[in-house]
Amino acid sequence: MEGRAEKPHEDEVEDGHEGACLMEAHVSPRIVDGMAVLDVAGELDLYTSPKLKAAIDGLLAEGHTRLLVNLLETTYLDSTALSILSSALKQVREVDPGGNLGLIFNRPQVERIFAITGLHQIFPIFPTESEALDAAKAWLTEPGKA
Amino acid sequence: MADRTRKGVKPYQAVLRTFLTGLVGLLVPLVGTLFITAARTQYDFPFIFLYLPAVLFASYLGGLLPGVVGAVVSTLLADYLFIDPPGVTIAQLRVDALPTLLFLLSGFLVAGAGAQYRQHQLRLQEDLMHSRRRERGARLIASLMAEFARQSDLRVMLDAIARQCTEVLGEWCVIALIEPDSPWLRPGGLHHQDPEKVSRLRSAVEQAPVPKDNPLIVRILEGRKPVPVYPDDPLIQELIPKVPVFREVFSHLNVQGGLSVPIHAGGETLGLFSVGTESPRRWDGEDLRLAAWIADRAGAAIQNARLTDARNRAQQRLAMQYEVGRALSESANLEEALPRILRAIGETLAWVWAAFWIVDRQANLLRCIETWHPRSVVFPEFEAVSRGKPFPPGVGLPGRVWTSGQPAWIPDVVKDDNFPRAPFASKEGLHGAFGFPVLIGREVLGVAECFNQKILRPDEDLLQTVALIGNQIGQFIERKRAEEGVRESEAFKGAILETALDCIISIDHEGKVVEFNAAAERTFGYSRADAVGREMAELIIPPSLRERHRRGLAHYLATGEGPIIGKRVEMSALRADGTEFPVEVAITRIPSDGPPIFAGHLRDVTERKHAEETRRFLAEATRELAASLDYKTTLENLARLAVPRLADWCVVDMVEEDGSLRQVAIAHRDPAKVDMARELRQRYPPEPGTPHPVLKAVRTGQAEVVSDIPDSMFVAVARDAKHREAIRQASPRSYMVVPLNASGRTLGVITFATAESDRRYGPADLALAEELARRAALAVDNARLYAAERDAHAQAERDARRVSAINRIIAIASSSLNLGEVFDEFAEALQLLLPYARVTVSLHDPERDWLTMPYFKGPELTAPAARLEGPKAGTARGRVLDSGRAYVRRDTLETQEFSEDHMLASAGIRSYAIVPMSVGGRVIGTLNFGHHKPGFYTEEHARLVQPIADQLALTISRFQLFDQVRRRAGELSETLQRALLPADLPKAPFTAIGALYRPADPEAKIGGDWYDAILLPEDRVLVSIGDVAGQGTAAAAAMGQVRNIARAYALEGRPPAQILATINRFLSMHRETPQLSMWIATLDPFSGDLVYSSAGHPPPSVLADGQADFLSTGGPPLGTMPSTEYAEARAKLTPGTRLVAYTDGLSEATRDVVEGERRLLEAVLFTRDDPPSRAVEGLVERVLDGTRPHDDIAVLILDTLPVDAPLFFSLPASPENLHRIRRAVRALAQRVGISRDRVEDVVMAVGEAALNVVEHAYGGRPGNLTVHGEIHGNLLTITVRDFGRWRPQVDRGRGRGTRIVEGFADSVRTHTGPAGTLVELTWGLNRATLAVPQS
Repeated sequence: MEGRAEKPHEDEVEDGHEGACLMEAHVSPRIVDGMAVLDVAGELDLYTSPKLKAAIDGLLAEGHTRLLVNLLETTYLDSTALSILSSALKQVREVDPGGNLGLIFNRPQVERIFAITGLHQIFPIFPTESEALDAAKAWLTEPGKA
Repeated sequence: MADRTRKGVKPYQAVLRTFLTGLVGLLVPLVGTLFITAARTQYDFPFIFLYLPAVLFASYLGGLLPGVVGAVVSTLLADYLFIDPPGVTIAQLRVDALPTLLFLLSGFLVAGAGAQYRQHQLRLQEDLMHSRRRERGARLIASLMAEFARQSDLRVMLDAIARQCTEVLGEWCVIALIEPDSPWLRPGGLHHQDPEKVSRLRSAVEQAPVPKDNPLIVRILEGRKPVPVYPDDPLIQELIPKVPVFREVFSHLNVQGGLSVPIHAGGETLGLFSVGTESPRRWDGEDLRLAAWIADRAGAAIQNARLTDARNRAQQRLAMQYEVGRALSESANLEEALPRILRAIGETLAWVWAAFWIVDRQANLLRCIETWHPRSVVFPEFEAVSRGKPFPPGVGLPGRVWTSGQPAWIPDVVKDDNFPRAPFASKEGLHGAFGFPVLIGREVLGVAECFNQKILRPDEDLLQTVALIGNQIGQFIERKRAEEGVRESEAFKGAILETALDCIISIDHEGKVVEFNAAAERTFGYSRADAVGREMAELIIPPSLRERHRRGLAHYLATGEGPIIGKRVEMSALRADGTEFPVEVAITRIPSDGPPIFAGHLRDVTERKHAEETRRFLAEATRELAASLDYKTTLENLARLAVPRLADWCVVDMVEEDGSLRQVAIAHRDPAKVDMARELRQRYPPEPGTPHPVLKAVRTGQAEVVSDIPDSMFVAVARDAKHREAIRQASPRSYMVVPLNASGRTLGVITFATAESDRRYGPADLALAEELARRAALAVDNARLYAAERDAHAQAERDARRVSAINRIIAIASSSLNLGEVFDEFAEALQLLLPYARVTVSLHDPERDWLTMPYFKGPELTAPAARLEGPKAGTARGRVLDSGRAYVRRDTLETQEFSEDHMLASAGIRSYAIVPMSVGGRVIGTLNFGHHKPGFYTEEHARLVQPIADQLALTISRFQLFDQVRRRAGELSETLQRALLPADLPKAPFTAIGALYRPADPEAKIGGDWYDAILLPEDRVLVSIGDVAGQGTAAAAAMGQVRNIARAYALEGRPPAQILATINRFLSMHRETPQLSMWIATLDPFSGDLVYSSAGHPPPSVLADGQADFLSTGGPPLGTMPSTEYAEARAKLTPGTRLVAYTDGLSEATRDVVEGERRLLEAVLFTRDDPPSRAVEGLVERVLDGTRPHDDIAVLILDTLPVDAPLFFSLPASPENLHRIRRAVRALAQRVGISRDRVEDVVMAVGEAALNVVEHAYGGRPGNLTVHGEIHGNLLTITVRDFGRWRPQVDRGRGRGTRIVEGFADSVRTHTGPAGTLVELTWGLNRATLAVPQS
């Protein structure tokens, strides 16, 4: 114990995500080269996932059926989030034969979740945004909705 | 004319008179002139003689004008008649200038003189009238003075003054006197000439009291002159509606004018009287003078009456006491004494009805057994209802006196709430009343009450006096009861003996003895053989009576009638030795066939006769003894009485205070020898150590009789040969020495001796002497008591001042809230009343039957004083507690009857007095006095301090009551405080909290100390501790407010410093909130970051790595300066650190800050191995170290748990809490030092397991979820548990969730039971950074 410290001791950062201590997830859509990208930052769990669902529903309502969900800044996601993502994928593919939903992440933890749940086989998954955007260009040229 | 009108002459009378006078003035000269004319032709001298008196007369009767007119007319007429020839008209009238002018001139002069004289006469008349009024005034004064002399009753006198005033000054009069201590004038006397209006005036005056400070009243009172008041006076018109009494008087009576007169006497303003008229009247100077005069005399009379009243009352009291004392000393029993007592009280006080009520203990009722009223007035109904209706305790005047044991006063029974006899009293005009108890100790034996026809204000002096009388009567009753007891047993014994001693003598018709029993043999001195056959008359009847006996017998035999057959008669009988003695005889005829036989039962009544004589003697003695209240005179009377009836000489010695003897009375059969005896005694006083009988009697308190004085006694007693010779000269034959015992003491000794008469004393003489001595002792005791009471009376005033001083002391002391101080004040005040070497107070604890001694003053006992605290049994104080009566020990060395005796004796306390302290009829303890001098205290002393003891009892019980109230209030605020302290301390991850609150005095004192600990968002912990200045509910309430503000702002996320600033602003806004110190902090249990701020609070101690230290201090206390900003401080609490926050009750328990802190740190170290919940206790015990805390103590311990401490986390199973669980689990994993990847594995698995609980365990209902993490060796086990009943087996998401859980944990075990589901996750650890000790 150091005692009588007037200034805060800067705790060494053990985890880059430790700072995101608030129970929050930020979900923000953007359009890059005609492609709808959904940035998700923070933790996605039962409490925060409805945000993700709402954002996806919003994009769908606007007619976006080819989506990228950027999970690079997502520190945690649980089965709730997985359910939302997989049902969204199903949905875009139902409404649009050329519809697709790609995921961007590189954290081994997330990779393991998708691996464990087998979802890595149904989602197009990209390690970076640029790779995702490159790949997604092709989606845009594919025949769309009726 | 106006002048005359004012004097009351009617106008028409004045006109008539003037007309007549003018006529006379005209007629007289005319007649004279005609007369002269008839004789002469020229008017001349004689005419003048007629003319001038006529003018004079006219002007005298009618004034100047008729005189002048008369003169002119007469002159003109004379001119006409005598100078001018007939037939001349007025116009032709010739005037002979000079004579006419002279004529006129002289006429005018005479008219002027006449008018002047008339004026003079009128003035004289007026003066006469005035003097007549003055005379009436003087007569009035005289009658007033006579009234004053006759009347000592102020009210009657005032009525008389008012009545007299109405005779000279107005139709009505009201006298109002200034009352001391009252803002109103009290209407004194009043009168109205019209009897019908008296009541109207009275109601007007009584309904509207006159304030002393009314401007008009002030003007009247301050001026020394009468003030006329007219209704047309603008000031009065203005005042009428404003001043109630004016409004009343003016509306009830047609007031046309009034006169208010101040009454002064000896420079003092006593009041005023007002007179008024209902016809128009102005007051002239004479009226004012008369009024002033009356006021002057009335003032003197009032003052005089007041003084007389005071003196009379004092005399009355003395006379009453004296009369009651006489009644008591002269009465054989209560029944005999009561009528006299009631009469004495009623007559001396001049009250009209008195009654005595006796307590019927069995029925628990008061019964009226005796009443009194003066001959002149009766109250039949009131008396009947009083006698017919017993009163229960507390009811009516007798009942309330019975209950309280105190005298009571009712100003007006008719208006009293608790007076059932009110209707009868009202009907028969009884109003004022007082009652007093007849007491033995604290026991009320009866109640006396006394009534008056007037409404009377309480007279404390009188109540004190009657209280004393009540005690006197009580003592009398007690004494009589004791006497009764003795007498009854003697009478019983006597009855048995007498029967056995009856003589039976039977005779035949010839008067010859046929039977002569053994008793007769003994009594008469004949043997049966001698007696039988002889004529009885010859045997036992004195010669003078023999003939009568024989005639009687013959008469009976002839007629069958006899005066004595079948009756008891007394007569003289004759013994064989020729002596006569009195016998009581009952003769019956024994039925037989032959000649009649008579049986006589004879009883020797010598003894009874003797007893009767003795009784007469004693009665006479009692009368004599009671005749004086001076005890020396009493004893002289006694000695005089004893000689020669009982002794040839008699000496009375009194025991002095110091134990020596003083000869106070001596009497001798031969007056010449009195001086010799006195001289002998003076020269040779009884010497201590010699077997002098008087000394022996003093020592033993026992009487002694020596029938025949042996010569050896002279030798033993005599100082020398000369003394012995002197004693022999006196030649005493026999003596009796009888002590005068009263009130448990030997007051003196009476010596009865015989010499010349050669009489030898026997037991009968001793009995008489003892009885005489007993009565004498009583009389002496009474006389002493009377003297003491008289002294006490004189002292009463001094005492009253002392008592009032004591009362003030009590008042002051009661505000100090410290009974010890009250005792001190009492002890000091008591020293004035009753000297002591040691005074103590013992209180009785009825539950344990235990005596405590909360107070003592004086020498310490050699053995610990505590030994006078203990069981009640066997103590003198216990005896007093049980009996409720004071106990006095003359000498502690004499006997060691009680457990105190030895203790006190060893402290040099030789005599003591124990006085019961009662309150509300309950003896709660005793007030104990000790003195070095043996025999110092008497019952009288005890009686003297009894009221003080009771007062002290009252004070103590008030304190006890106050304590109770305070305790109850304390309980309330304690409850409040407990309610305000958190019921449960929060469980935050990796922390443990313990706290303790301990009030300084578990029973009474409640402080405003508090601690608080709650969980904030993100599982941060808010802790605060503080101390509100002040105590009780106000402090507790302030504390609650502050705590709530702190909580609210902390929940909003405000840092501690800001919270303090906010509270400070809040407190500064509310002036009534007290100052407080506070320390507040938030701790992030994951990082160990402590953010804190302090407002004048002692810095918490921090214990880390075996080192204890203090945190930094902070700003000023809250509520001192409105705009204070508080600095924020931070500290890092690494795992395994202990923070100890406390209030100054702990750090200043030793009253030494440095030492306090040292002890605190030492205690912190001492208790470091205990968990917080136990450590708080240990810490406080360690610091206090057995001492009693003088302030409240609050302690809060906040531990950051060591890294290997298990995690236990319990929280509601809801979506928003999932994050908290992951966070705690992540922290746990990090703390134990596992690799980052594995940390996230743990988080993923636990998060998913928790999600499952949240989603499914409770089906939407609230429920808890616990996470328990523990390291065993290299194994991390985390258990996620719910308490739900139902768990769906199949779910769409479940499969995925389960896969995640199983995928991230090394192993998963699930238990599902009725009490919920438990998922146990384990990981094998490969701990990288931290070495964890193996458990």
